[in-house]
Amino acid sequence: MEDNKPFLTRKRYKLCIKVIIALIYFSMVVFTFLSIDGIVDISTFEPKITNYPSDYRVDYFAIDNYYQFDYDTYYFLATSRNEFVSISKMPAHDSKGVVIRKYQPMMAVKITCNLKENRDAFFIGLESYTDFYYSVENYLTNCIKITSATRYDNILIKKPSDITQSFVSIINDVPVKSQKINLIKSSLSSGYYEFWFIIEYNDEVIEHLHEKISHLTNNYVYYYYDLYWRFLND
Amino acid sequence: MTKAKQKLMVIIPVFLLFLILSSITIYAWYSVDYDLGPTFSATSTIHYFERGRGTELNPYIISNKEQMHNLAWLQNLGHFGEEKYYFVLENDIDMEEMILPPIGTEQYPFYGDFNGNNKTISNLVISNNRQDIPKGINISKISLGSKIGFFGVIGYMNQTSDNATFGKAYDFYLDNIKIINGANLSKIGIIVGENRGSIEKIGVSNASIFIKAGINASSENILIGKLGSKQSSTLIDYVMRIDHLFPTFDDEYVVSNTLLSFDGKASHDGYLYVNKTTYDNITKVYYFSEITSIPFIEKATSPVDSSIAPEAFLDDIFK
Repeated sequence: MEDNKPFLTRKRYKLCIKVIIALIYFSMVVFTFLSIDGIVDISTFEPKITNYPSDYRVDYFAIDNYYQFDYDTYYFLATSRNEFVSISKMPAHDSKGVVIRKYQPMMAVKITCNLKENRDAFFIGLESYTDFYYSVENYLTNCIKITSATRYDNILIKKPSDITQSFVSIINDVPVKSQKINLIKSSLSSGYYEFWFIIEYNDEVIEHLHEKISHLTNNYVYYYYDLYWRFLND
Repeated sequence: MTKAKQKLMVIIPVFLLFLILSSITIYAWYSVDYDLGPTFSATSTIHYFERGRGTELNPYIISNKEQMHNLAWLQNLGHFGEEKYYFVLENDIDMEEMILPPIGTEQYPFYGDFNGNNKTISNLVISNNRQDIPKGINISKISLGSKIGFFGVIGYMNQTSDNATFGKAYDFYLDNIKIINGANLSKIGIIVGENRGSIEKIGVSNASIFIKAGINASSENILIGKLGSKQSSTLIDYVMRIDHLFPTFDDEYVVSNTLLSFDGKASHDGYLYVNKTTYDNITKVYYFSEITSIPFIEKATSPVDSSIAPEAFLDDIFK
């Protein structure tokens, strides 16, 4: 028997509208959630900055020496043939100061970006997805602290007003880890920018870690890369 | 319009809309982990030796050159304090010309127990020159002193007569060891600069002493730069002395190319007990300047007379 009723009945039409509204709403919720969380760079969806890697860059450099003055701390970037020396391994931390190393147990971070339009709230942050572990196979976010600095030629200057932040804090002998660090949030006009940071070992956390695992026979703790740089352009 | 077409006109736009929105959502989700450039790793040191706790029953085990380096610097930076720690060599160690400071200084003498386990430490350079010290070690607050050898100062701490603590080193060989001295008025010994503790059964071969120009140095008996306060003059007569070396150029003194088997004992009370037969194998200290090679003469037993001019001394050797 042939059914003469049209497919798009009033009831089905309303259902379609509801499905479409639900889909749009779901997408908006996901976007809003990720945007508020500072994870998604919404502007990456703009065609003009799809060449994302050329707009942002992170480099790590060796530090030759450093001096602590009454207020400021001076860090000297290691140079070779008039260029800063790139490194991929932070010189080993040892609390006794006897391990041979070419550079200081710290490193400089340079972030360069080329903003193609004004930003009302330009944001740089760091994020970790790992927990704190009592293990010889460990993660960078469990052992480092980071501070912004200002560069003058081959010297990075850290002032008392430059706040040092770390993912892990030891509170009553218990490690407490936050998953995020906010480094810079400011209003910037378009143009080329260079930001510098100093990454150092967090002595307090490392001492706590070593104390808890000193029964192990391993001589070293290895920290693997788990830093996620975040940029948000509103 | 057929019913099938009506269905398609509804399903296709809804499907396309679903596809676009879900693609954007998935892209947004996965686009958060940007590869911004290089990554890096790091390490921290938990233990400075192969294993052990430094106790008599569970001594620190040393098995490579880095751990020898750690022993020397932990000692000289004062990390062992006045406590007695125990060390055992696990195997032969080729130092590959690594430069170490003398182990133990006047500031922080070695009070530990170093059991060489009859192993050999080879190709080692000992120096008290600050410019020879590897970068990264902060020595601004320490003095390497003027007692130099594989050990700098082996200490003796007279807490009470019954409870004295003194350093002890025994049962090992040093092969191809070079001592570089840059401190004035220093006491040089291949094994130990100044022994106030106890050393026993230590062999030395292919040893040389390098003294910077203008530096005044001496050694009471080559292997031991200076003994403790009470000395046995009778026995020391058998031991070679270098009363004063004062080169005008940077000079190297080849001590011996054969094994000096120190099969004796230098005790913490300052007495030196040497097996004379073994001692006879100790050869002269050859002084040479501006000479690139010199034939080696074994079993020369006469002590060095520092009053003899280098040329006359060499003439004496080549007679």
